[in-house]
Amino acid sequence: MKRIELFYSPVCPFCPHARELLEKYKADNPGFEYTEVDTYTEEGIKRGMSLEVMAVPCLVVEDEIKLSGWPFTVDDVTKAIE
Amino acid sequence: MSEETYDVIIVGSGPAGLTAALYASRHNNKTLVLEGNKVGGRALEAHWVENYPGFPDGISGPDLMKLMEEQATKFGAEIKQETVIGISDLGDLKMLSTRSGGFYQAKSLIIATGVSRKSLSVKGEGEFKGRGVSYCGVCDGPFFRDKTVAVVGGGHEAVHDIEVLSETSNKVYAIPGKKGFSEEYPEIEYLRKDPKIEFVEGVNITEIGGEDFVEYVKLDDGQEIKLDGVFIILEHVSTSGILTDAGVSTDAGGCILSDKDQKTNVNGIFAAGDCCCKGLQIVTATGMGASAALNAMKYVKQLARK
Repeated sequence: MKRIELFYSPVCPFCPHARELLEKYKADNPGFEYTEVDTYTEEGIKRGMSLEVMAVPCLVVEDEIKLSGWPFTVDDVTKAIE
Repeated sequence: MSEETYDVIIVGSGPAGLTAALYASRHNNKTLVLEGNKVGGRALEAHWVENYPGFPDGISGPDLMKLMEEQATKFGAEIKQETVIGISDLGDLKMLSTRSGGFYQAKSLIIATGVSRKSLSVKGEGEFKGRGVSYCGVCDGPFFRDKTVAVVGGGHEAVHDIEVLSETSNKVYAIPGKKGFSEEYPEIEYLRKDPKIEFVEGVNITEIGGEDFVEYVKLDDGQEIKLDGVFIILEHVSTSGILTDAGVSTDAGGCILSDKDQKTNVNGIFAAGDCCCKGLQIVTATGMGASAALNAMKYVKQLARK
């Protein structure tokens, strides 16, 4: 299974929308899993900076930044994951 | 075309629009709110609101707006998802046309369309989005810890982000643009004394550049500033176009000109909230919404006595 991470910040107004898109993808694709990484934690920001994440929401697939900064669509998410 | 004539139609459903709807409908005025996007406006983007009276522990923007919507509709205000594309002033009647082909008519109108985010539209902005170009200081600031950044914009949110970023970044260039700061924000005085903040005023950015990530911005006076991130925090009133036909006056920045009663220059058309550029706070927007509704109701009563 691919390692998929959604980097988010609790103060980011757009991050809940990104989460909604991933949840929609998950509902259509049983078995799909992803991890949320909170960039307002020391661990989260370190992980993000090690991957050169510079904006949230950010979708990382197998350590590669696929989508960075809002907006993106469910089609973008599908393309990024598949 | 809707055959009904509303007493008050409100364009926009943020804090100002929903407060106006609450006041108008509670006084038995036939009230309609037209909203092209999600009900709640930009307040929906507020993660946590700590300065709205009555919520000492704070409340999320979406929860606050849900409550405002409930309170407005409780008294009979209708809310329709319609994007207004034209407004005509026919004297005692105001006509509105919508993108879906709908037409609505009202005795009075309240414009409460707020402000929206705006891009800088310079070379490199799109290319470096997410690689040094950001639109939210509080969201992405942690990625620029001990780095050099610029905040572009002269509104309240830009000033807030200058302050937030100066807490973590090594250096912050404040670049309000040629129009300068939209108000004499009190924070600016002490931000000017912060050695980590450098104000670069009277210039516009012409280019954002770098290799893989942002490395510099170029200014229209020929300067080049080396940096790691550019935060574009620009707001604009997006309704100027629909107001032209109705003859509603705005300033050069598109802010609707209104008096202390929220009246515009056109009889029966009022404005409230962020689109008046008088504060950009939820609490000021609700105050303006209430005032606009009270004065719109007075206007409707005067029409009936004609």
